[in-house]
Amino acid sequence: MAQGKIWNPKLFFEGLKQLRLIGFLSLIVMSVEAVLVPVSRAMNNAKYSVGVEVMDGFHAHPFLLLTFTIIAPLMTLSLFSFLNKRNASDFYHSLPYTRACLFLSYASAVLLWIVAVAAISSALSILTFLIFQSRLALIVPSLMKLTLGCSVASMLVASSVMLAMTVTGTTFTNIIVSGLIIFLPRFAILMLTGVLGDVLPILDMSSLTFPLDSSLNLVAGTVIGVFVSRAGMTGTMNILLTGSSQIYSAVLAAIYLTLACVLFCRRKSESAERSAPNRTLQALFRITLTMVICIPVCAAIFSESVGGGPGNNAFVYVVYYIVAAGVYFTYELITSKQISRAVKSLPGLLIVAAVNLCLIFGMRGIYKAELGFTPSADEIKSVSLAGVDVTSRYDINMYDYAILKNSSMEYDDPEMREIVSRALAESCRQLREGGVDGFVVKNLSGSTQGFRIRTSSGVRSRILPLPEDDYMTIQSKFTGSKSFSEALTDLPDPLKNTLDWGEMKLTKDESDLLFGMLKKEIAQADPEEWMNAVGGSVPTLSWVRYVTSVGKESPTLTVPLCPEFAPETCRKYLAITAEKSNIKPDELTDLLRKSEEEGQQTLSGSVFLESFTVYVCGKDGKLTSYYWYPDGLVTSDEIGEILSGALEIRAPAAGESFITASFNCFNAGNQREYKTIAGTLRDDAAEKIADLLRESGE
Amino acid sequence: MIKTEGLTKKFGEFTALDSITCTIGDGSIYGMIGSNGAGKSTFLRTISGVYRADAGSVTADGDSVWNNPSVKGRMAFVPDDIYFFAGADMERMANAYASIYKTFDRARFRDISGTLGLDTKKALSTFSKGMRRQAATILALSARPEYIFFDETFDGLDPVMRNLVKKLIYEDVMDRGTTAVITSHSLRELEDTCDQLALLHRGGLVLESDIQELKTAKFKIQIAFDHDYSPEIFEGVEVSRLDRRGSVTNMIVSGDREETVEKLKALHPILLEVLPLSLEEIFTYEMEALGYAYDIKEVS
Repeated sequence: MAQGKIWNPKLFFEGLKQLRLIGFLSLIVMSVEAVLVPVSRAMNNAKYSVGVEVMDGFHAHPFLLLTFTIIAPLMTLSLFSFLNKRNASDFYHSLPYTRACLFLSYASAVLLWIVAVAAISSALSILTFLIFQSRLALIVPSLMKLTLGCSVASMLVASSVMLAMTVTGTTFTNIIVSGLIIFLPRFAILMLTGVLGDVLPILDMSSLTFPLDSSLNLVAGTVIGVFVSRAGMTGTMNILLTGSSQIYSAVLAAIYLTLACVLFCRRKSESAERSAPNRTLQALFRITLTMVICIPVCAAIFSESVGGGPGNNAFVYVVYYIVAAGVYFTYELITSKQISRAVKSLPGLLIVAAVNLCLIFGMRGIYKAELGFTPSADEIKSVSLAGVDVTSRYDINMYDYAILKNSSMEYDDPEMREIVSRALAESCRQLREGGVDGFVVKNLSGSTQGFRIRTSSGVRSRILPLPEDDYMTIQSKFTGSKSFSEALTDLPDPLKNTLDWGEMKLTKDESDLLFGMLKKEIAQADPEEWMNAVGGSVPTLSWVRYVTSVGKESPTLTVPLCPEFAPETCRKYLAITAEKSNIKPDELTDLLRKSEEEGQQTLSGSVFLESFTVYVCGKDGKLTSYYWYPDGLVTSDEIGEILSGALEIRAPAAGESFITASFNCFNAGNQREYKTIAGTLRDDAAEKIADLLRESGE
Repeated sequence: MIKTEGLTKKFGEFTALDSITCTIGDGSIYGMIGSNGAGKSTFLRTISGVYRADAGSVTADGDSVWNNPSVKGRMAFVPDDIYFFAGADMERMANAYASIYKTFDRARFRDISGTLGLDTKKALSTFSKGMRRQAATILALSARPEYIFFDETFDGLDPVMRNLVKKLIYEDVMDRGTTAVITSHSLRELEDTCDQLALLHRGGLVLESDIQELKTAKFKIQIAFDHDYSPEIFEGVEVSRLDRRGSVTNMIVSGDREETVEKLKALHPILLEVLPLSLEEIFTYEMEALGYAYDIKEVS
């Protein structure tokens, strides 16, 4: 006799066994993808002679997303499908296990399969990347975080489906109620906060915190985010890597799992094949499903009621409510298969109407409360500036990094508090008097700034339009601070193996050496001048891009290689480039001509110019950069004539002018060869080219 | 010993079992008959711990059955609607049973499967309904439980198979003291199998008795006199039903047979014959006595 109160290994293995078909199929598909992605990229990179390509978790193993979107719900629905069949349900309930033991043993089998599929396929991905490390570099922490995020998301999905299955008894209702549990709360929050943000543009919706921040829920955040997020696909998927979202989702999954276990223990075997165990729950599911249609209408009606919507949409609302009523009755008809039951459910529509009214008036209350938040300067304890939303950005520069690093800095001086109090009062007045349209029109031009305003009642975030003087005052306070300057010139350390120097194939030693030199030189730079350089005001030789860590965020940082700020690093970079040059000086003109002749046409045997830059060193030692394009007014022959005999392949000494050029050359077999050259240019030749390009306006 | 006290089970407004109190002794075969919807399957599901009673209790040797693995581990249930794991064959199911029931007897499993000619490596989904029932019965019997419940199992088996299964149940009851509870539509099916019989009607237990006692406690007497007589002359005899046609009277009588015959002989009848009653007749008369006016044949 097998006894088990809470968990039984034999039952657990039985669960694993029952899931083996889905499990092994998933594992095979995921593993093949995990191996094929790096293999194909490595082959591609080898074919086109691309340097070491740095890949993050998403690009290395995108199928990980299948764990929570397909595998977790499929496995849960499959293993717990006995709850939908009377004979199967009776069989399982006749077994000598407690209900809790049956549930927990099977639930753990589902969770183990999901985690195993994710972990094994990710491990295979890492191994494959290791094999091809000469061509590819995987950001391992990114993949590990993604694996963890997807595993947690899968647990959340599995526990939600389990919860739905304990209160329903057919596959149709399993799926409907699972969807409601997973998405409805976040969908409702997103709709309602979204419309609040639209009618109150001073609200900083990117700073929503628990429980309003939709990105906290890994599943709803990513799935809904794909459709409605302003952060783009990368920003949306970054939710899966965020620690706070992982913790929140894990806690939510644990709560759902506990609730599902309790309900499973209370569930009657005879609930199988019934849409809901009782009429109350049946009504609850029906009303909740109807609210999915009603919530956007409530949001629109609210928006219109405070002057935010386009107006006169009554007909559309009526149509929506008719559709909602249709959904209400259709659900009852499908689940009960009785017209009489659908007719009897009619009074439930009154509850739907009441909930709609509560939502509309509730939102109006919140609207008024937010608009009423106009503390005086004395009531404001301190303010801080809003940081950079890195989740929506491909990369950030050092200025963004310094803002991010100092986003928690608090300002409590009277001037700052007065500026914020005044701006907030003015914005609220404009919104009250002119509505959102009036507010937007009045503030079409001008600067805005995000603030976190601390008062005795807590912290609220606002994005406020500011008069230019006030804006400049705030900017100077912020950028003039010591910690901002320090952050601006202090390059943060890169995460392991994430240094990317573009097309240049550098060894790890070369890469580390260059980064070390760059870090030292930037530390010596004047913060203000460096801030301008970061904004693109001085010539740059190249750039380095890497992933770093700032608090909870892991942004990708791009740092320019400016000879003015990092001369030694640039010289070393040029020395390495010169050493790796695979174009002889006399071949350069020919390549330039070919690139001019073949242009951007896709021909076999084509030569495409990546870049041709002449850096002219002035008498004051400052560099000026000039770019040549094949389709410009200056021909390759003119350039080639000047270059002839004036170019020497070596790193320039201080005060010398130089050129860098790179080409993508394709042979008849469409094999790519990346060709580069870096060399020192005689001053007179550099000046001649500069004059030509300057005159042609390039 | 399985004991139910005031056992009540409802499905919404419908009362499937209405305050049933009964005792099923160890080492007995307990038969339960009843029409469709009488509550037989619900009774078995409740005493096997599948359903939770809404009121009353079910105990096995004093321990509650509901959610009690130690009791349920001694029980095996063959329902009317059989379930096997998706894609499973008998071997796969036997492995699962072996992991669930420590007493699972693989030798017996192989032995019975061989005797019944079932291919244990063939997918159960390809089996006919009768074969699936056989498979479920084999698995339950191989688990060697102390309590085994069959829900209309015999109704779906052919006569040869039915006898074989009955033989196996007898062996378990005789050798191991197993207690079997069998439900059926057919009284005849249970008549020669069970020690105890119960009749379930509309969720209520209307009759429960030992079969031998039922058969001997009631008998039919045919009596005739050469003179006119009134029924009062049978005073002192426990007559539950009397039917007079001319000079011949047919009586259903309860009580001690010898004593009754002696009393009637003293009345000097010209005809006195004691006839055995079929179980169907006994049930019919018992029902009538209890106020249930229907034909037992409707039930069976």
